[in-house]
Amino acid sequence: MTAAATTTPAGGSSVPPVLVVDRITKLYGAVEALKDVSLTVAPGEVVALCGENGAGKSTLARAVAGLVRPDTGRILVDGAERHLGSVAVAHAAGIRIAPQELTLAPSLSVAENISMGRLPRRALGIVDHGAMRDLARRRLADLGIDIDVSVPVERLSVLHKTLVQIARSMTPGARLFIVDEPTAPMSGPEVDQLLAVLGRLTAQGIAVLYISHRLDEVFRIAQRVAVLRDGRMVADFGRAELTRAALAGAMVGGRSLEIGHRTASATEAVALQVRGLRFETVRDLSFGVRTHEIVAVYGVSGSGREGIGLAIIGASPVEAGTVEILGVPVSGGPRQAFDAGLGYVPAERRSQGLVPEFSIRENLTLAVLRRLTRVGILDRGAERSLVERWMGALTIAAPNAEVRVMRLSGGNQQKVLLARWLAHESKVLVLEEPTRGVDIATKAEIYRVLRQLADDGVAVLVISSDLEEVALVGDRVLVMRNGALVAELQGADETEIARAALAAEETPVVA
Amino acid sequence: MSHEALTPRAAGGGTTKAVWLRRIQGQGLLLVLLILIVFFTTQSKYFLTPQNFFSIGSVASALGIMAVAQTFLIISGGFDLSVGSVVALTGVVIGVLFQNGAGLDIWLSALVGLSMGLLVGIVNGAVVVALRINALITTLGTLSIFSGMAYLLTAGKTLIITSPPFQFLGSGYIGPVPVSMIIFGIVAGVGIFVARYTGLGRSIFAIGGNPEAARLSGIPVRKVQFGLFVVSGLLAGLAGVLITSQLGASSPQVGETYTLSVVTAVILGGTSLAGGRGSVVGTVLAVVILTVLQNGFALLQFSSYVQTMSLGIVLILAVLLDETVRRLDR
Repeated sequence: MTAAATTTPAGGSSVPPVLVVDRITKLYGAVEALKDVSLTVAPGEVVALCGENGAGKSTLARAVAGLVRPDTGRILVDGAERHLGSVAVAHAAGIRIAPQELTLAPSLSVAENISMGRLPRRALGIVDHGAMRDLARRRLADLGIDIDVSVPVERLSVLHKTLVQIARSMTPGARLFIVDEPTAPMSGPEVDQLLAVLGRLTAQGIAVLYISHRLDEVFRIAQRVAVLRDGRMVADFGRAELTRAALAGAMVGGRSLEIGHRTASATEAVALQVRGLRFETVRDLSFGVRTHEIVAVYGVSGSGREGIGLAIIGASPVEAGTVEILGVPVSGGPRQAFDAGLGYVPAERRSQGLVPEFSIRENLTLAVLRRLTRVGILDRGAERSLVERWMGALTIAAPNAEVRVMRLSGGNQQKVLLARWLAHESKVLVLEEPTRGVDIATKAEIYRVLRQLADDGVAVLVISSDLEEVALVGDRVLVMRNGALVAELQGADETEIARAALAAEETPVVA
Repeated sequence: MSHEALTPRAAGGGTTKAVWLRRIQGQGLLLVLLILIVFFTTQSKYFLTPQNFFSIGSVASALGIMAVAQTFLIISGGFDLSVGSVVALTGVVIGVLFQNGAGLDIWLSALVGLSMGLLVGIVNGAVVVALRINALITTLGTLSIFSGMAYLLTAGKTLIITSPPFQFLGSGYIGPVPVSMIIFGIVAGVGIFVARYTGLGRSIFAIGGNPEAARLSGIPVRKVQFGLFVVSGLLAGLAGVLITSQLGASSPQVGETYTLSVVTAVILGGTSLAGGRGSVVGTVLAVVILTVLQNGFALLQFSSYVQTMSLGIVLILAVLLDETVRRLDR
């Protein structure tokens, strides 16, 4: 099956396909999460589903698994039309999914997790532990995995947890296995092992729908690559016609995220100065960010990159070191840092950024309440005009400012957070993962805003695990590894940055 | 997804069903009150009289004062079960110091009594905010500690407090209006104003909605939380002073039912146990409803045990409504 046309559901080969998705559409309000999407998967085939964040990959996977009910279209498994939007029906038809977030019980053993919900029992309903362990060993052996089935899952590595999750879902009758972004927190050798396990599944005739945006893995495992963009199936590549350039081009659709780089002159003031910062695994972190420049910090997970933002603003404990904002030392917590002119967009939009009960307006002005109050009383007029100004400047798409923020798309939510600190008129802006989970159009807009801020004299620090992002926005890129800054790069491409971040012991994830 | 439009029906926030139910929770309270008034009016000729109206108002006052403070605390994600013990302790301390005229000056005694509330509030705030112990557990603990203390101070006896000027505070009238009702009116007014028009009010809602987001926006989360416990203690002390004045006596048993009715009023008023959502107006309405219910039952000569039972039922129904709204809202 090579280069199947995207609109013919039935495929053309002699083997009937295990899965046919026929022109499904899913609307969330006016947002088209999926629009006329079709896809076929043959038995034992590995199809990769690629696309930017927000392209609709997970929605499609969830629709196939019965977790989401499409508004129109059909889903056929082994030639038979299946009810849409029923997990039970999808499961009975042989569809299994390993979700992005694992659903294991951490304190229970591997064997208990694998048998969960179907514990083998003896008379009087007593759990048959021997049978349970045997079953778990058999399941794991089928996948070529060797793990002690009696240890609690919480003591396993991320890879082993993922493998246990796979083993659990591989009940008899499995026909298609969906893996949703499985490798995000894994190292190179772990990825190899995971891909090997998936290879065993396909050898048993089970098809795999592999969702990822890591081109590297996609190239290694997939026989076909389907590309979603803005909810539409825009390309379906066979192995032979697949090139990196073609795949990347299909994913972004010719849109440019380039904002250009600029070298800050040494005469610019250092607006953010970090000296000898020590916390968790990070040792002696020192760097400065000048006005008019964007500095990006990159590091793989576990490099110490994750804690920097909170440490700088004083929201998490540090053992040693100083932070100066516009020449003023701060060490008294976030409030003091914000008063000194710093703004901070946290990594986790939902848990750290937004107040879910609040409207756009209330979320947007959260950091400037004191400026909007006279003797404690909020100036509603001033608040409204501030909100209007920044909603307009960032083109936040909503009928009005009173809409609950959780009703917005991820991209618009992220813009609200950014607007919170633009309203604060921060002179130093620290952003962690500023475009995680936002669509590509918003991503481009956010990058342009960052460039504009820097041009206007703001010192911008972007802390990110997104290689493409740091290469695009960073006038200088600082690379962290094992709790220390190991490189400072200017004008470097993704490969060079990845090489610096991974050093010799690991292979770079981008070739 | 490049189309970042909204679902039209989402434009007010929440699903239609959730909006509808929240309206029941809000304006529905008025409807419930109206039904109760009509019902009791048909059942008793004494119900709809000016005297009874002000009698309800003066009974509602103590409960209402505590419930306003509790509303803010629950909105911020906190909880204060110790208010009942504050009422008891305040009254007992006044009685012990005043010695029915043989001891300290009555107003000085009242001031010390009031400061007991402040003390309990500071203890609650310190334990919850500084030691980071769950508010429910902490105040359950202090409820027990300070009621025990009230019993200890009096050996369980009732103390008579005869002081006409002091009694004026709880039972006196200015024109036709009970003094206690005026005090409640002021507290409720300040509460409504703070919730709607101040930066502090906004911060309290933000803390309850997402404490981490509030902290990472520069809101002094712990300071506000501590302050709310102190205010809750202090206003419970004020309620204790009023109740003592109304009764002309104090007893360690007095506060016992208040914890339950304060929490019931706040939840019935539409404040979410999960924090981040609530209304002082709702609480005030709920306080009036609970008091009317109590008053009507008394006029119909229902047993006070039935009243206690009905309070429990109302609490569970109110929580059920809150849960339903939240589920539909997600």
